[in-house]
Amino acid sequence: MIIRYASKRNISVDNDMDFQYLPPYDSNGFDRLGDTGRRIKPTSQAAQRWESMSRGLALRTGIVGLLALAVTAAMACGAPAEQEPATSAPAAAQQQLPAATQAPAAQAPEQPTATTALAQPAGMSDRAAGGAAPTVAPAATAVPETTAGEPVQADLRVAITPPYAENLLGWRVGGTNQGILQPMQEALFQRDYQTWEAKPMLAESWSVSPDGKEWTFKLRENVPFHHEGDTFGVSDFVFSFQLWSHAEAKTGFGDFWHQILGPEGERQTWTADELGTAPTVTEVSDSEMVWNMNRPELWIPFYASEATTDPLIYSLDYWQTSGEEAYAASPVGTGPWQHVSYEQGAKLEYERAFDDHWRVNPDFETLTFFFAEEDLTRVAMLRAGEADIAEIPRELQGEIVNAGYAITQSTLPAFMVWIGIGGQYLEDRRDANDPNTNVLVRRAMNHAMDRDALNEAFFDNKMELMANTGWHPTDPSFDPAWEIPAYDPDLSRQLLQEAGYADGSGPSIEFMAGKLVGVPELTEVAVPMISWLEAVGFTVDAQIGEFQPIRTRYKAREMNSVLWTHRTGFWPAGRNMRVYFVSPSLAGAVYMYEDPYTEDLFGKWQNSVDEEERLNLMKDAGQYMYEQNATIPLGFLFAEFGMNPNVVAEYSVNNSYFGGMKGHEYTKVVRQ
Amino acid sequence: MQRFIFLRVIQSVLALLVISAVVFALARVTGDPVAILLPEDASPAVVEQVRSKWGLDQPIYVQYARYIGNFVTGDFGEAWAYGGVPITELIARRLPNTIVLAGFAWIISASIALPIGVMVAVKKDSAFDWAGKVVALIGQSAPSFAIGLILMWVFAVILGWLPTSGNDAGFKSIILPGVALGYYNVAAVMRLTRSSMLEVLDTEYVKLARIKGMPERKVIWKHCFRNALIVPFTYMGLIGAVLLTGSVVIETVFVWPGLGDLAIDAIRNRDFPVIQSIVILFAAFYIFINLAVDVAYAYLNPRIRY
Repeated sequence: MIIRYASKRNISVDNDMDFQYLPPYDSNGFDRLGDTGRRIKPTSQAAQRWESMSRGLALRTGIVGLLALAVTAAMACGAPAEQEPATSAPAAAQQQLPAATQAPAAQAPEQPTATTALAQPAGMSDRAAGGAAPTVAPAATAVPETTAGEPVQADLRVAITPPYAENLLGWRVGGTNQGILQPMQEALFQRDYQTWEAKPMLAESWSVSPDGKEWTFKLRENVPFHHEGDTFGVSDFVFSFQLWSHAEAKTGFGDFWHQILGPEGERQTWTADELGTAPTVTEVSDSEMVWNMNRPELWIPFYASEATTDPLIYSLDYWQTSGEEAYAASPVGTGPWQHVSYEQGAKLEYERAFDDHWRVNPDFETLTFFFAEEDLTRVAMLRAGEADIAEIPRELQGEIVNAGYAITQSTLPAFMVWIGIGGQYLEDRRDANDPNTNVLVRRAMNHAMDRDALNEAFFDNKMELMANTGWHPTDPSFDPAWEIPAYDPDLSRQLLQEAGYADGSGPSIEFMAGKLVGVPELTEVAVPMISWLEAVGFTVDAQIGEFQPIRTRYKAREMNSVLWTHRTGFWPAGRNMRVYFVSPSLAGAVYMYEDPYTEDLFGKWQNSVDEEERLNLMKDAGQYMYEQNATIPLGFLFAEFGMNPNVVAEYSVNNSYFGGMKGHEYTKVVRQ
Repeated sequence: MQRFIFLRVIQSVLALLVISAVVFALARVTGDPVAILLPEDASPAVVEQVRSKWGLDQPIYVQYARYIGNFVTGDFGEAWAYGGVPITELIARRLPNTIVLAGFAWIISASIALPIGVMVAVKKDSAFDWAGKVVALIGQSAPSFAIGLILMWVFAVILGWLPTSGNDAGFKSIILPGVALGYYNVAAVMRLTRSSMLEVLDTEYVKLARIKGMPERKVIWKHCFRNALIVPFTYMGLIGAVLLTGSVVIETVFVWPGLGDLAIDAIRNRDFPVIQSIVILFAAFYIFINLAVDVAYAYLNPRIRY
């Protein structure tokens, strides 16, 4: 069978296909096109359901299409008024470049000094042990030039989708909402976004005891806050940890910090007198501290890094002298940018904080985030010259590139996307009749999916396909022998027969798909996947819409017989195991795969302080889950941003969810 | 008249109560806010802690009674998605922006619709009349966000005359969202003005004025227009409320930090207290303006008696 993808929403099937292997509609669940391209009503239940459910979406898409036509016609009348080439020759030359795509920028030149880094915890990324190269290489690139001379512009303006929750005290909103604060605040560690290794930030050097419970840190000295006479010290760290693990904190790793450094019992609030000191943290000097943790933990450089978003450093002195309300209104940190103003729901402004920041002096004098929910608004901002960098959805990137703007891509993936196979619970929630608990059925699901076709149709082949959900080739526990499940409908049918399902009467399952920030295509990719499942014999009840109902169900461990679309950031395998693939007893969060064997491995991994043992345990867990077809892996996606090459010479997008918010101290301005 | 006003106030309070119950119920049908607002890997203990703090572990009627009780005392509660910021503070910050936008859109509606309505009535069945109908049809049939995006691309991206979005470019900032928001109501007001004007133009006193040789301009603008205003005036009062409450999409498209934009964020985050507060506030606006228009109408039109 040959499937031709004319466009994302217009997929046709060649006439010479063998209908023996096809459902009455095309194998992608979309309209089947004949020789004339005439639209044929979809006959499958899934396709009809989708058509019904997506009517509203289609209407909106139609309107946007009309708009695009109108805009195209209007644009034919003239060039963008604000996009005159810069006066410099290089900039003018760049304006002429067709479809430029900027390279993943090189690692920022001003890196922290080397340290006496000791622990590189097992399970963290290590290129030396990193395994295979990515299946799909990042897009071809053209590196812009940075010339010496005066900057063409002092202000850097970035248009992003607004955070889910806004508060300038990040610990009160938690998670990725804290991304907008990262220009201003720093952490003990940072990640190297080329190698994913831990690097020092405010922790200058560190060491860990053999039992993994005692950590000694030498902090960077004389690092000033954006608050006169206030420098970073041990008490600021303790105060910050108290905020991360505060009873009202929404931080994702609040429990972790409470478990390793907090007092016994539930997370708590602190009185003013208690702030800045903790029994578990010994202050050797203002710049040296020893943690006597409640349990062993080797992943401190990961948990205490800015990559996890939570462990940002707050000023105790500023808090005590100004109070929480003033802190929230005008926050401070140690970063190269300092807060200037904030208009909720609209914009957040920073300016260069110091003439000589310990880490890096930004090229731009100011940095402003504009919060624009609508994709087309961000595109308009970029094209009107009101934004220099903008978050641009994949489907609109072509237009941006054609207009002379660049698309820049993260150095490592930003997202991992896959299909969860629900119902794989421990005995307390396991349903023996759930087809999802049968490994043959799960294998059949995996071989029913044409990942290459999805990649081409929805992701412009930019998705790095994944063999085993949770394991990227840069992870040391990744096995290069793992193979991406091949698209083989015949094998799927055969597996279903072996599983006890007669030909054509496969298992009944639900398929839930919901939109998630960063990967809006998740609802669209569900449609062909549902059709492929039906093509091999599954009966699928499709529910496509918001993600929130999905989350409510998996949190309640009520995903029996359900498949669902999911995405997360780019994390080490150990973190993915903990969040997605263990039960509540091991502090899991999504409960996508619970198995006594992997539970045992993960329990040992958590408690082990032997790096080699931890690595082997994680490898075993990965191998077992791979063999068990625990999920339907899809792939890794990179963060991509549109930028104006007349203003921005280089922008190193990191790999996180909030790439557009971080790292602008390293963004280079075009000079003339 | 006093009895009429008293009855209308009672009706308004009852309407608000019903709306509050509907909003309260609908907001909860949409799902669990804790699942949205906490990080994915938040522990069950934290989830329970937050649920308890927000009162979501209480029976639904207790939650409703507390909500109404707080509302009556002017305490809208805390915004869950904004880290506990008081909702009154959020609303106080955003409401002026919404009022400014709605007010400007109202002026746009009136300044386009009334003159065109008069002119198409005077030049009935002419090319001008048909052109006016087309303008009205476009305004009525095209969604305001579509109009907004087209305006944005033409005047901000292509011509570069106005900012695409935001509210920090002074008067320039409000032009595009104001026109996009106000244009939708042009059609209705224009057609009401037209039909009202046609009715007045056909009256005996207008014919008499013309027979007496009064200048046509004076006949139309002094004698006809003022008498024809009562119907569009009533409607213009109502669209004041519509504009205040209907700016949700436009505020989102133009990044206008008003209540509509806040409402969208709150809905996305299942921030029940914010959703409830904004909807009640919008409902109160609407009901109050309806009430005011009814009272004013009864006062202005002596034929109306209660």
